[in-house]
Amino acid sequence: MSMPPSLQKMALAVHVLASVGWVGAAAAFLGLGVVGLTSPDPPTVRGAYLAMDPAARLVLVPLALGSLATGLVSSLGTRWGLLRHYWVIFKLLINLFATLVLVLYLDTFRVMADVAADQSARLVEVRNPSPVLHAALALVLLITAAALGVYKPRGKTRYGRRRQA
Amino acid sequence: MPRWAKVAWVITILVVLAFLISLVAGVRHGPGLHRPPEGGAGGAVPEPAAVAAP
Repeated sequence: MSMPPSLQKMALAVHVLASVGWVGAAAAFLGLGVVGLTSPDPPTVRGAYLAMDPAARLVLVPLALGSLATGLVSSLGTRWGLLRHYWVIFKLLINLFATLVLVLYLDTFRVMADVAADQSARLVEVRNPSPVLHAALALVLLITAAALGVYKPRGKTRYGRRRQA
Repeated sequence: MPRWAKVAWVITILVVLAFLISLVAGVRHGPGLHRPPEGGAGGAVPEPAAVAAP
């Protein structure tokens, strides 16, 4: 099933916007995580972890779901297909994995924000290396997915070769 | 299958295996890992469920 070219372009544009926005948001989280770990100012440290929770729910999750949904629409509605090319399959796997980890990680954001909001909690208890680690790994995955989308390395699956024949 | 796809499959399988081994080995995941220690100077933040319980 192939969509009209104008619809294909719109789906691709939204997919690129959501995916690039997700990379930018992950980079912002890496920055917040570094500030949380290294800043000597207690309100700044607490503020970093407090900001992560709503930002994850209101920015990261919509961008991740938007990227996943528009990626599915773009692949299924164009000649690329979902299971015909290895690069599409790996991009889908990366997107699914990153979205799953993000959704599972929302509880952790909430707990870290709760600790940061508790004025009796010591700063050493508020600081947490986990967001830096997760944001760095997310960036590696998302940049890999972006590279796959740009370079589109060759290689058709058995299903893709059958469809072509 | 092209070489890059073979390498990507191997990396994917290794990542999944590492995650499964970490689960079997008892490495804890999730928000419990990030809670401050009980009885610390700052005090632990109670779980929302515990707060809501009568």
